[in-house]
Formats: sequence, structure tokens, C-alpha cells
Amino acid sequence: MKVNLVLGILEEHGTGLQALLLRLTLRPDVAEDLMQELFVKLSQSRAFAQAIDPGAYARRMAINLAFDWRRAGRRHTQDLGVDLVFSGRSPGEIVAEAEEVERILEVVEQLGDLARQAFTLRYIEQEGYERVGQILGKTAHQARGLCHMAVQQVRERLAERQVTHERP
Amino acid sequence: MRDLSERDIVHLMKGLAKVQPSSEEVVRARATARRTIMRRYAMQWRMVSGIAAAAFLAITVMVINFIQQPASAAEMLQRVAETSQGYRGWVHFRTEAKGQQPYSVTHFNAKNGVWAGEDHTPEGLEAKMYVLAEKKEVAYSSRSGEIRIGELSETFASEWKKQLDDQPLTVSAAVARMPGAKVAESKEAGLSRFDVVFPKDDPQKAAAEHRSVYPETAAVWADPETKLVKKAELHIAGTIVTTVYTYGNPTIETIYDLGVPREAKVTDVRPAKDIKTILARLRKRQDAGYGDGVAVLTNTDAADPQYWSMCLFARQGRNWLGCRYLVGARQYHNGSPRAIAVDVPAGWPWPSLEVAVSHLKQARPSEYVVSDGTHTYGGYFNAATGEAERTIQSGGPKDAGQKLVPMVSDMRSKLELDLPTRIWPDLATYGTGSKVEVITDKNRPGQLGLRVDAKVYIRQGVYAQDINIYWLDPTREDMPIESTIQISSPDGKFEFKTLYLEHKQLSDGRWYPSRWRTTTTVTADRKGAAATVVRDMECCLQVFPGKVLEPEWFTNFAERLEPTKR
Repeated sequence: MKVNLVLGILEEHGTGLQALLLRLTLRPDVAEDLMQELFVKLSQSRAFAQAIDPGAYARRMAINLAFDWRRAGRRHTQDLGVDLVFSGRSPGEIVAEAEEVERILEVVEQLGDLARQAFTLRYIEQEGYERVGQILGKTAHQARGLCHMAVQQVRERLAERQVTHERP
Repeated sequence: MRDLSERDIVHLMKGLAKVQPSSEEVVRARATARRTIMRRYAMQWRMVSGIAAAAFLAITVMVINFIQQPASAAEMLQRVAETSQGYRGWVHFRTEAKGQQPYSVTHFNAKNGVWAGEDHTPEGLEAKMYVLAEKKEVAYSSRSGEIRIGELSETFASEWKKQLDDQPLTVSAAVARMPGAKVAESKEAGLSRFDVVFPKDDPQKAAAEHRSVYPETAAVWADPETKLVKKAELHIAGTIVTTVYTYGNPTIETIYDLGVPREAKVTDVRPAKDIKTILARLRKRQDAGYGDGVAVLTNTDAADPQYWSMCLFARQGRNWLGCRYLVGARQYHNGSPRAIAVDVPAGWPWPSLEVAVSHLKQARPSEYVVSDGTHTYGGYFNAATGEAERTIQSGGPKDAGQKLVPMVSDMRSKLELDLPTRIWPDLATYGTGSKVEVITDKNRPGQLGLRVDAKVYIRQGVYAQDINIYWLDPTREDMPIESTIQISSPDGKFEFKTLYLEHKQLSDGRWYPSRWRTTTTVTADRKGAAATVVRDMECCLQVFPGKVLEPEWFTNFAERLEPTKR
């Protein structure tokens, strides 16, 4: 029964999915809202019911939802809402780094679907290349290439933005 | 702002990876999600049939919009689409697949939020109607000859309304993703005909993009004057599906307008407001449970030691477990070994926590579900050989067994390895399939009585009729006093009658049932002869809040435990 599948995903991956949504939105309240939206969508999705790896499907959908939310411009960049974990830093450095994280996420949201998902899974979710490949339907080797390309794109786009921002 | 190198980016993301929601946020989000899921599926029939109908409409209109070339036919078809989408009165459409007898008719009015569906099959008529403004569902089945009126949840009603309202959004989103469709316009029987050829679609790609597979070809007929769609024909995977549209009258006011006979019996199963409050309260108690700690439950069949067992429950932050162990007899009456059974522990049926834990540490449970916070493992140990069977793993990076995830949660509830739901009944009911009512008994002053009548799906075409009666004590956190569960199905009759004999309080004042007796009566039809079996089981529960188990408990039992030496 599909209800068991959805409940099973909630049981086994609920916490991880919520953490993922929180990392991508930096807003606990939004992460909670998106959790509800995610499970409503999973309940409705026929492709999810037929997925070979429903957990991976749910994660891809969570990533899409979070970046859809970011793209919709509903985030508040000034209020990060969560305490980022940067141990051994001064408060000033923590704020600066939190802003940098937000900048990175802004750039990630502009990447193509595959690159965005690869970046999120590898660098935000800290998954190994093999698992990234499994989730994205690629080989570990391809996943490595995708992740490398994604982080390169992020760096390049950050540099472009830096130039744009600093131009008088 | 500084320039970020790739190393900086990776380092910053590592910091972000450590961000975790608080346990309170997790509990709240999971509880809400669980309720949302259950409520949705309580109305599964409606969702499936309704979404199918809505999806068909969407794909039909989608066909109209998948036009990229600036051809006049495309422009004309676009105008047809916009006109049809903009129509806010009654829309009726009949859908059937060529060569197949069943057909369905759907009616909806986006303006007033009424949706109705008829499924015509060789067995008869199944009709369903949602009146969103009243959060009301009305269902009829010619098999039962009964009309049932149920309640729609707030979530369902708002989502359904959104589906009706958001058709243009669905379409515009689809347009952006569907390049390459070709359209040609012609005239046929006074109507404008549009033939659409789609680019070849890949089912895997469709699944990855969270959408249905595109049809191969489609034809749409529209009224040249009103621009409204009159008919659509889709060729999907070798099947021709035809939909015929009409607009305006008839309006659908009641379920009788769908052809349901006036003389059909009407049953209103909507819960009253006071019942809703009670159900929410019980759900809250389930969600809260007893928090972190350990609980030990012993099950003693006074007449038959081959049924003795004990359960261990524990929760420590993200770690939890529930497992059942066989106790006592090493052999069943039929001679089958019960080799994994443990000796009866000292103090039975009230072993101390220390005795129970040390007794069970190296024992193989007959069933278990355990989570280390990342992975969840569930499985059985063969009672005769002690070998691990059907081990299920889910979660984590090396997860080849993801598709087995549903079995874990299914197993936990089926095996009753979740303590709170054993104490407070789960009675969330929506739709027309079940009914909850408060009952009273003059011999039970102050007790809260709940009766649930439910039709439960067993297998294709087979349903069980459940009658569940619960007596609770509202003055002691809704502690169970007595329950009777009767299940009648073609397979037999089952009755589980439980009398709660003692309750205890934890040091913080919370109550729990400490001793109860369940009498199970099974009357099954065996080769034409009814056989009745009666069993009495006495259960003793001890709850130890705040107590912890060693970390190795929360690992895969199949790996932790060696097979029994034979």
C-alpha cells in the first residue's frame, strides 16, 4: 500500500529530510512547512510509488521544493533563523560566514537541476559519490564529475557576482 | 566580501551540514506529517479516482497548450485552451478507453467547489461527491445500496479546491517543459479539429521529472464559436482514451443527480465536534508517549506455556527499539522447536529491569524493529534455528534495501511493537468508511466509551467489518479500562477482549496500564467446519522513564547476534 510507503519514508527519512530542508532554507519554520508539502506531494506522486529507490526520490523532491521556495523570493536573507555550526570563531566571523553560506545557496539555486542536486547531496548532505550516483541514477564516476563541475560553477558564479557587486 | 575558493565553499558547506532541526521541531513536523498522510489515505478512493479525472482534464488542456510554433492552428488551439480554462460554470466529461466496458463521468464546478464522480462498472455504480464548502463527502455504492455521508479534512478540502482552481497554472507549467509538439488544424462535422503529435517520451525521464508519460498523439475538437473543447482523444501506450465534454446544465446539487436511487438508505458517519476533540486528545497522547526510557512487557498464557513471551521497548533520543522474545517452553505442542526461547527470568511476570535486560541481551527476538537514528533494521529470528530471516534495512548511505522501507513501519504496527499505540487507540477516521460514536453505560459512570464501526480492506474484493469498543478513564489521562475488538470477515470471526486490571503512576504522576488480560476468541471456518479457539493472555507492563540501554542495543540484531548453536 502506498500509505505504508509514505509512512515508511517519514519514519526512516523524516528527520534527515527535515534537516535537509532546514539547511537549504535556513528557516526552521519554513523547513517544517515544506516537510508537510513534501509529504503531501509524495502522497500524490505516482512516480514516487513506482520508484526503485523511494528514499532517493523523496530527497530529490525535497531539494527541488527547497530551491523552489528560495526562487520564489520568500527567504529573508537578514534573518538566517538557525545557528550555523562554526566552532572556534568570533561572533563577527560567524555572521560573515553565515552570509557567505547564504550567498552560496543563492548561487546553487541558479544551477541546472542535476548540478544543483549533485552539489546539495555531496557538499551539503555530505554523501559519498557512490550514493550521490545512486540517487541521481548515475555511476559514482559520473557523480564525481558532476559534483566537481557543480562546485566549479558555484565558485565561478560567486566570482562573477563579486565583480558585479564591487563594480562602482 | 572575500573571494571564495572551492576549498572555502566545501568548508562552509561542511558547517552547514551540521545544522540539525531541534528534537522538538522534528517531533512536531513528523507528527503533523503523519496525520496529514493518514488523513489523505483515509480518502484514498476519492484521491485516486479524483486525481485521475483531474489529471485527464489537465493533460487534455495540456495537449492544447503544447504548441511552440507560431502557426495559426497553434494560436487557435491556444485560444480554445484559454477559453476552456477560463470557464467557471459546470464542466462535465465522460471518459472511456476503447474496448473497455467501464467508463467514468466527472462533473465539477470550480466556482462553487463541488466535484462529483461516477464510476460505471459491470458491478454497478460507484458515485462520490465532494461539497468543499461544507467539507462534506457523499458516497454511494450500488453493491451496498447505501449512501454514506462523511467528513472531509480541512487539508483535503483546501487541496482539492486548489486542484480545481489551479488548472491554468498546471497547464502553464507544463507548457514550459514540453517543447516540440506539432499541431495541425482541420474542420470536422462543424467543429475545429486539432491533431497534435508529441515528441517521443521516455518513461524514466517522465518519472524523474515527476510527471506522467506524454501521449503519443492527441486530437482535440472544439466549438468554433464558443472555443470550448468538446472532445479529446489521446493515444497512450496503445490505448485510445476518449473524453467528451459538455458545459452548463445539468447542475449537480445532490448525489441523486448522479443517478443514485432516491430510495437508497442514508447513513451520516460524520463525527460530532465532541468526538473530534477526543480523537485529537488521544492522538496527542500517542505522539507524546512516555518519552525517553525503557519498558518491559510480559505475556503469560496461564493455560499454555508455549505462548509465553516478553517485549522490550526503548527510546533514547533518535534511537529506539521494540522487540518480542519467546519465553519458557522450547517446543510447541506440534513438536516444532522453539529454540530461541529464553528461560523464564527471575521475578516473572515482574522481572526487574536489570534482570530483563541482562536476560535478553544475547537472546534472539522472534521479531524486532530497531533504529540507530540513521538506519532502521527490522526482522525475525527463526524460532527453530535461530537464524535471522527477512532482515530489513533502511536509511543510510549503503541502502540497497530502500524499497523495503514500508515493511519496517508496517511491521512495527502489525507486531504491536509501538507501545503508545497499544495503550491509546488510534481512531482517526475520515471519509465514509468508518464511524466513531461516544457510547455510555450506566454501569460505567465517569468512563468514556467509544465505538468504531469500520469496513477494513483485507484483499481484493474482501472486506472485514470491525466493531471496536473502548472504555477509557478521562480522569486518569484516558487510561484504557476495557476494549473489545470484533472482526468479521469471510475468513472467520475474531474477538479480542481486554480487561485492564491495574494501573500505576510514574514518579511524575503519569499513568500507565500495568496489568491486563486479553481473551482471544477465534472462530474460523476450516473445511466447512467452524472451529473456535479461546486463549487468555495476562500482560504485565513496567515503564522505566529515563532509563537507558547500552548503545549496542540500537544496532542491527542480525549482525549483533550469533545464530543459535544447534
